[in-house]
Amino acid sequence: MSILITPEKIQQEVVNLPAFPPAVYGLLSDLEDENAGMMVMAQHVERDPILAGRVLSTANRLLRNEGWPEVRDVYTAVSLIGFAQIREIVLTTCISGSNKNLASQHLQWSHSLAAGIAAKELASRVKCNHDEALVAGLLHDVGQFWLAYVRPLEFQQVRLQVEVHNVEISEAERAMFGVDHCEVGRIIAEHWQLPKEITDAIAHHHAPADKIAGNPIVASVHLAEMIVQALDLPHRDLNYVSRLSSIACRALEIDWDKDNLSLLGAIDARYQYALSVFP
Amino acid sequence: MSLRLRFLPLFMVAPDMVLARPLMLMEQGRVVLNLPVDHVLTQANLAQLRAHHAQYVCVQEEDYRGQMARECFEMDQIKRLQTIFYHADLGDPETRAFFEAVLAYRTA
Repeated sequence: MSILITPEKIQQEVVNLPAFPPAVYGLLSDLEDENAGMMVMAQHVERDPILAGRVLSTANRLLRNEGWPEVRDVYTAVSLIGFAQIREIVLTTCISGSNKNLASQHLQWSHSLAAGIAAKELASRVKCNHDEALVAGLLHDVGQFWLAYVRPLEFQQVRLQVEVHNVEISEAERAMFGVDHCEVGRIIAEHWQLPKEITDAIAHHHAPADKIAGNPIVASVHLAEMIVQALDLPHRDLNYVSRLSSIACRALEIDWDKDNLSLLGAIDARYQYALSVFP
Repeated sequence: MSLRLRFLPLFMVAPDMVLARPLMLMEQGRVVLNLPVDHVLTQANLAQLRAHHAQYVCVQEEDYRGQMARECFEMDQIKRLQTIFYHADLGDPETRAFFEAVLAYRTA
């Protein structure tokens, strides 16, 4: 039996979601400037003691992996880990906190982490804003998290449809709820007032319309989604590839007829690396 | 004996592993580390990689599998990809090329 969810209903219920971490807004605007210093980032982190604790805990996990001594402040962590990696840790830590509250299964979060890492890797190859690509990739399935959170039994039935009858997830969601997770994600992203490119990337990650598929952030998240599913990062029975946008491939200067081992290998290895830091 | 490529996160890399691809690290537009293909990694290299915040390297290792084991592995990969691409149009040249690229990586 279907249980229709209207956009109005989503908007009413979305206000009950945990607030989007305010530090991310500040970081996204300040970090747009590649030269924004460590002081600016440390200030954002230190405004929120819980976030600061989680960033340091993550940074220390990474440092232990690499045989460095532990650190007790963000400034020292930046010196040892490097500014670029600390940016990734801060953004991922901010978002994993709110996403993990919604994600019912660890695999779901691992998939988001893989998509975020892959989107960042793809975006950095065409020199577009890879922090935005990372955030959009991490959040691309927020609509699915929300559906599983507010309608757990019905969402289980959707999963069964996908697993047993090989139905595409968006199709099964539309049959059950009248909307799919991409549309729910768009409404949540608008409620959180995320930048338009991130909202578009969340809304169109499965099948971007031709007119927006050339946007590098939208293209990065779409291709990231296809690549991590094709590489089983992580392995899930639900992994599938349906429509690959040629326009997105061109926007990211990817020609699949050429040797792409380095691209796929970089995404695979960076994901394994990220899993050790954000378990 | 044939060789296999492996892209490894840095914490899985050990001395004596052999680079399968050149390794060039840049910081602020400057090359800070440049190692060629077939270079044998040393403990000092690993320290350099950590100091420059490298996240992964591509190494080559000998493939000890027999012909039959390799073929079985490749068949498993093809079957898995056919499941993942069940809804995709493999008649579309771009999608087909993507399928082949992923298969090449999974069986490298």
